[in-house]
Amino acid sequence: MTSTELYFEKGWWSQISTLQTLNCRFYNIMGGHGYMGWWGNMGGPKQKGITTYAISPFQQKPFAGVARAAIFNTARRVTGQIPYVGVAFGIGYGIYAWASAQHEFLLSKAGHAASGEHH
Amino acid sequence: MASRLLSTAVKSHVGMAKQFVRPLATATNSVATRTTTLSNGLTVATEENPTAQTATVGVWIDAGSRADTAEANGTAHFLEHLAYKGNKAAQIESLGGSLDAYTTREQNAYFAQTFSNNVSQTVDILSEAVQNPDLAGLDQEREVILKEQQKLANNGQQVVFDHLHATAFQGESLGRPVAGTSESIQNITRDDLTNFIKNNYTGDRMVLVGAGNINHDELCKLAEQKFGSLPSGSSLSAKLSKKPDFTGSEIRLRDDTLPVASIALAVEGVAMSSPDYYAALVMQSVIGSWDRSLGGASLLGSRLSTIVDKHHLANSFMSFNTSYKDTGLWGMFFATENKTQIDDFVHFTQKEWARLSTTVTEGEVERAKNLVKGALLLGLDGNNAVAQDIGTQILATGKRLSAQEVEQAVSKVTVGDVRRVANAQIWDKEVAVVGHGPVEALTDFLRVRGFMSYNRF
Repeated sequence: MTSTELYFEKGWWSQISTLQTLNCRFYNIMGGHGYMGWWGNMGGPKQKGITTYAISPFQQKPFAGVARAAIFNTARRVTGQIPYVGVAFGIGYGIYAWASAQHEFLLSKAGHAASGEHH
Repeated sequence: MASRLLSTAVKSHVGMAKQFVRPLATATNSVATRTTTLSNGLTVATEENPTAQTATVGVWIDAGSRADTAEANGTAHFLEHLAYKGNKAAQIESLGGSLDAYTTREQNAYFAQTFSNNVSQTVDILSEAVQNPDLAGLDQEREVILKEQQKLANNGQQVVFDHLHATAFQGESLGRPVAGTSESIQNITRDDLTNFIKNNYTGDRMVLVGAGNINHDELCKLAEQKFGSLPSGSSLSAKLSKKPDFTGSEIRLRDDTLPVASIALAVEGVAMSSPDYYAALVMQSVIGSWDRSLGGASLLGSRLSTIVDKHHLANSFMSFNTSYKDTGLWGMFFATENKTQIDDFVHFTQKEWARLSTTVTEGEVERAKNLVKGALLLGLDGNNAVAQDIGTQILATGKRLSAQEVEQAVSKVTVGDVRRVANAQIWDKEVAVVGHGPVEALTDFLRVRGFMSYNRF
């Protein structure tokens, strides 16, 4: 099979891996095809000027402030949602309350009377 | 294993060796350092060597960058630059001598090499430099220092060690760089310098050292004359400062445009006055140092060097033990071009560190002890080196051990001591990591911290 037939037969990835085996046999197999390096030299954009800091977990307080937040922050977050939840709940409850009352009314003697005479 | 063979070899030959020791034909007096303290607290220490042609005289002051304030970080180093301004250099040159000075985190040293008959003029020049420095050339010197700093920014080792101190001793004065930061250097004023001298250049924090062809009594008389007016200072302030906290942490200065990655890992070390100081030195020597250009690169005694050489894991590595008055840093520095195997290097280093706490052999410890003895004693190869040794030891520990005492102290270190100190300093202890350059493959900090101990023992 010619290389073009291979291309259509198995897809582009296998053509590249064939080339890889043929040309890059003596090199790092994962560094051969030029899209990606390996851990430590992955081949992304060259990074410079970014400094990262870390501190050991044993020198930190993982639950720092959790008791205070449990009360105050929770209260703040809940009260922040009142315009949304409260209004929607209010509307929904209002509809339910009216519908419930209307249902009771229609089932009552006064309701039967109001909906028209029937024998 | 080679080290086990060596330990059996060392043990079996000791008995035989005793028969063949030839008594010395002439007993030589051990050269002791003569010490005197003056009334203002100034210590004068001399190692007399009447056969030498020259002498080194110097003042070692317990006031390095650690004594700076945070805003004026770099004052000690600035003062060192200004001390020799004026005609002092010309004066010493006319005597045929040379002036030198250095600043470290804990010490400021001003010393000079001269002929032995010029000692009194030299002491005069030094006393002027220390007590009345010419502070007028402040702004010019500022530019010089800033340029010096810029040059050092390219030195991977310097950058890494500065950041290592900064992260390991974060929030402490010991963490600040010796020369200061560019901002703090700009902020240093004349008042900062005079305050620094007033607060720190006091008699009780100085040692006047003489090494070579100097007479101790003569030097004491000169000290009385020239340094007698030094204030004795309230030594309380120095003694009450608490031990700096070591913070396990990490800084990664990633820079993929550099070809070589410089990385350092360190745990909290021992103080210079600690009884475990020599054990820590031996411990560091077991891991050792290595460079790929060494002749016997793959055949050194250090196990780590064999592994690193075989797999080309680094260009060079260096174990270090930096000890200060009350704390220290003990660890490993390495430079590597092998960007994809940095984590392998860290892995094998930590494996060797774990072995120090568990299965380090007698043979390795004996080899390391001899290396340490060699490094400490063969390093005293001139008046300058001797003077520096005297000054450093007296400021840090209050006394100076003679060569015999140093040898004894190192010889006393046993495998048990090494394992005990390793357990105290390394096993499951906090570690500080700094990486500079193409450090994508540097092991994640949590993994480094986790591998400081095993569950196998």
